[in-house]
Amino acid sequence: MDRSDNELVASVKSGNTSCYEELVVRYQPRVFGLVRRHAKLDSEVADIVQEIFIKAYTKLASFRGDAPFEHWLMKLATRTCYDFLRKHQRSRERPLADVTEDEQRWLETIDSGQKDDSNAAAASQLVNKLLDQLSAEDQLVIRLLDLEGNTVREIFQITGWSVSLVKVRAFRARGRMRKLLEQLETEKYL
Amino acid sequence: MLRLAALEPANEQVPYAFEKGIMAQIRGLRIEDPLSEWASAFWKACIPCVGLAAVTFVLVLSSSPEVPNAGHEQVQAPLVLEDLILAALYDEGGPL
Repeated sequence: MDRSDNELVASVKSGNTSCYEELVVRYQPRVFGLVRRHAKLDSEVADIVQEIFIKAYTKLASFRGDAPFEHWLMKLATRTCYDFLRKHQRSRERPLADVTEDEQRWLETIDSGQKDDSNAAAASQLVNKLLDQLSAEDQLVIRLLDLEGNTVREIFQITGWSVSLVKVRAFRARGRMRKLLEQLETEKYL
Repeated sequence: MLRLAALEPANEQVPYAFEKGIMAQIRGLRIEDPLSEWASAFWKACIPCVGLAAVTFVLVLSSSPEVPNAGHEQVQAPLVLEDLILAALYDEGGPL
């Protein structure tokens, strides 16, 4: 019978380190999924996930069990990704990468006013290219709010940013993305 | 565009035996921690002790009125130090 998260955590806290492996196995797919939304290179993804699980182990004493272990772990994972983004923020002077054919086709269907819900992959790639041009804070708010579907309240709990700050950041980030998209579409015709 | 991008499922693939690497790192952490904690505590205790000793020395120096044998030019430093420290006790009518 599978032990619950709280039982495993209690076991690790009382000195049985091997129980932590079961927690890692249980949550590593979700953590990998979350980290891959924030970091692109595979080598970076593995390093960040490793850092998250080691941080979680060293901070396990601070987990009181008020909320599910999964929420606590995902919060810690998001904060670690944000710290990574800030440390490795690429220069915004770098020009936007060329669009691929799929992205091009998807942009054209949008331009013509049609709705194309079949090509989520192309939209996702395009969104990631645009997000790469934004600051770490803007990237985080768009990923948490629009891509992962968190509420503003949840974002406040994860980041500590006030509700109004989250809303203002999201509004400005979307505006910047719109401008970058217009720039892409203009360059297409040059 | 964002709504559509959100539909794209996250890639949750995990490298083979990834958890083994994590556990190896954690076990390495566990062994190192007690030593580094002890060393850190030792240095934290050492610095205030040295500081306290220095302050005490300065206070005794400044409070003692006359130091026996201080006029002799060839007085050895350890004897002068001893006299300095004991001078306060001589004056206060202590055990000596």
